[in-house]
Amino acid sequence: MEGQDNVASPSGRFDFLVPLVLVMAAAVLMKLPSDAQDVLGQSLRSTVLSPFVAMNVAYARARTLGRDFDRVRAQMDTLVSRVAAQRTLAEENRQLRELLGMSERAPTRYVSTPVIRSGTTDQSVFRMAAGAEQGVRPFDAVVTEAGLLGQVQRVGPRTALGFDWSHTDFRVSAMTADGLVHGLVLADRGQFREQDRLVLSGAVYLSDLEPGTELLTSGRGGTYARGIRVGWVAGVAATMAGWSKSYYVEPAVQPGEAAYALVDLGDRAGPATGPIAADGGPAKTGGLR
Amino acid sequence: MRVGPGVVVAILATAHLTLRVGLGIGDVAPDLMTLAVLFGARFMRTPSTAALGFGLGLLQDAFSPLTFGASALAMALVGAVASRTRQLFVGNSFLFLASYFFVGKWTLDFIWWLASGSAGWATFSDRILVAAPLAALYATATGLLVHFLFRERRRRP
Repeated sequence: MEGQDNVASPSGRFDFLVPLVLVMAAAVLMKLPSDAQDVLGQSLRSTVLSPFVAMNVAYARARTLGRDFDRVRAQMDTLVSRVAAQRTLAEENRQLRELLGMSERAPTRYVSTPVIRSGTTDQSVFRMAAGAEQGVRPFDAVVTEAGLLGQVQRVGPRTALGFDWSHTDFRVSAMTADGLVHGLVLADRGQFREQDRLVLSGAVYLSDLEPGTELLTSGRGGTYARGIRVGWVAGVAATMAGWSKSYYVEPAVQPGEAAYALVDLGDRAGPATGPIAADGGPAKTGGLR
Repeated sequence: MRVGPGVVVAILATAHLTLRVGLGIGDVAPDLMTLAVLFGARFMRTPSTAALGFGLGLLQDAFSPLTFGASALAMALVGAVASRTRQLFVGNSFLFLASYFFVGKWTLDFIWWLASGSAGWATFSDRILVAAPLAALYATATGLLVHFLFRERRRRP
């Protein structure tokens, strides 16, 4: 390389002043309100970075179409068989609701989107090719057929950013499938990303959950819909004598495996220009049942 | 055709975005964005290198909304300091360049870790003591390769 450039600069002061100003500007950017950061990030993603974003979406689609064809086919076969087996349930549910005088349950709406990992610094963050125009809002749940993947954080007109369960800010109220044990599930980061797992904290002390017990979202707090699969109990993590227990949880979804996901829009009405899946069933349990 | 350092910086930055964002292969690709700043710092003046680092860092931050600004800060700082090394170290020996790329990349990761507020020993040992040195080694090998190719290209008439 060229190396030494020992000629004294006539504007040597700028050698310190400009970097100092830029570092201060970066510090100001970090402290900006998230809305202002969103505007700036969105403007970069929709201009100078748009070719790379478009390439990522196209590549993710092509990869899914090619490599995952057999997997998608197997998933579709499973869904078809489930729908066929449970065809009468919707009608039975409707009749029971009529008998009990209950109003009809509003259908849950989903927007499907590719999950795009930018490969930049924050490994828990992913991008989605659906945004406010498709009805996506901050804090909507992001799910796959296996269960809960993460949560929407920032929403642009046609794109959104979210983080998966491995993010340190991730929290979800969970319960066992029978609804007897409740707690808060949060991420437990390992030394390496492969060791990341979840922890169910705040379960009652007398609870005795066997390894393999399924955990679902409880719907408490209203952020996540009730009944989305979170994972399975892997073992006791800690106990607070006479007070509470914590359990390690094997997550239902491995973040790296998710190429496509659904954003759970709940039962709210809104614009829908993207591919929409609707679930009018009695309750959501498991991944997307 | 002679290739100037500005072209190499542009190629490295574009390749980084293509591999990590376009193809989404993440850490499988070396951190070419940092290499672009470190490479540019050997030719550009301190303010220009800091501006280059700030701009490229901002592009990275566009995909990291929860740590927005951290990459811009880290890259501007490392770019400014890296460009000063021209007045401190003479020559382009293999050992110097290897140390330069390794320390530059590791320092950048450390500053990013501090700026992003990822406090805690677990993330420190994971990111800074394990992942960052490995990423720095990868970047060093790539940086030396880029340097070699660039030098060979320049020697040709």
